[in-house]
Amino acid sequence: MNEGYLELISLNVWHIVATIANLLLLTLILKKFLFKPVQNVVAKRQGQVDELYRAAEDSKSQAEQDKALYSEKLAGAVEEAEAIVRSAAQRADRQSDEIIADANRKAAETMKRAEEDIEQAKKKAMDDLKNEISDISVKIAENVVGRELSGEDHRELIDSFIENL
Amino acid sequence: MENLNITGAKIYFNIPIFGGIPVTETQVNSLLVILGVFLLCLFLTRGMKTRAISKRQVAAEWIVEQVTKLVRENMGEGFLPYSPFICAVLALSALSSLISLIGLYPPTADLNTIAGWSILVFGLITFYKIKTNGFFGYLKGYTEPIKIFTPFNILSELGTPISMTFRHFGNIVSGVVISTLVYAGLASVSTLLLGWLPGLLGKIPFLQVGLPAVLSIYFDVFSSCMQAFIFAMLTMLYIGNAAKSE
Repeated sequence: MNEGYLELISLNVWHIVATIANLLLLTLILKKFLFKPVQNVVAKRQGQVDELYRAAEDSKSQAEQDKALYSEKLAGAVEEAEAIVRSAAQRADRQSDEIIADANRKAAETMKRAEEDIEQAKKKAMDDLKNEISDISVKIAENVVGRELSGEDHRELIDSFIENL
Repeated sequence: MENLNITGAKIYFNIPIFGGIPVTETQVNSLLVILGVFLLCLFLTRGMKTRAISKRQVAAEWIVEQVTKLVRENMGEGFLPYSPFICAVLALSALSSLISLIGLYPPTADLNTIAGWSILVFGLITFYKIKTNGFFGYLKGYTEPIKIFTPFNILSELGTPISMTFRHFGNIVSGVVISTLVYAGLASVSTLLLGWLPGLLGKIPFLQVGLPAVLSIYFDVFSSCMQAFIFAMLTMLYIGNAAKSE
């Protein structure tokens, strides 16, 4: 055997102790420099993922709430619009009725006034005609009698005469 | 075949206490492996982020995840703090063997290395047996099923670390021995067959090219990883079983 070599199979307590120490040292190194950092970063990522999921679920429920609210509002708006249209139509109906009634009344008034005017004009014409006739009659009578009749004296007479015609 | 020596680790110097503690290739190369793993850890975990992670971080997370999974499956949820220890066993065993690929002496070819690990595992097994069953329960376990079994039980208990040690040590050392023998043998055959070639040409052992590479793939790569895995699996199973109440 060479002087500078161990036997192929040899045991040395200090080498065994050193080996155990080496294994424990490597365990500590792996724990501190590999497992801890990796576990930390994985845990951190898990936290972030959980956070994202929570945020997404929050947004989803918020969106659903909003949706329900909006559809409710939309239904209300449709109803309101219908009510507006209905009341507008009612008002228009009422107004048109009023306008027609007004027009009818005005037309009737105009007719009535026109009839009154006609009546008056007729009456006036009648009166004028009466006066004319009486004047003519007086003139004729004058001519017949040959003297002037006192208008005042005979008018009554003539009038009654005309009445009796 | 002349001057063929198969030896243990080369002794660098002796620490002159306790009658001289030899410092050998085993210790130096073990520390090299530990340093390498340490630097690899720093490299892999540098600048870790939670999003858009680098390939280095993927590797780091993969290693941690796989080892943790292995421990969970073989030892149970309660033993997850043992993950770094199992990872250390795997890394130290595999890399200590694989270091032979770059021409360094594999510390796993030194009986002391494996014996140390096995003694540590044996200590853990015993610790968990006592913790689970109590000290007297642990002692009583040796007399079961009947008192006459006691010697055999003790033998079987001691057999655990010894078999673990020699399984691993034997596999690695047999690789070293066979590789050395094949190298020497091929050199002899080469000299025998091609020695007539003129000058320097006759001294080149051409036959050493090829076959040793194939052997190296088996003994250095496959066997190294296999033994590391087996040792880690046995460690997990023995400790896990010890913690289960019997």
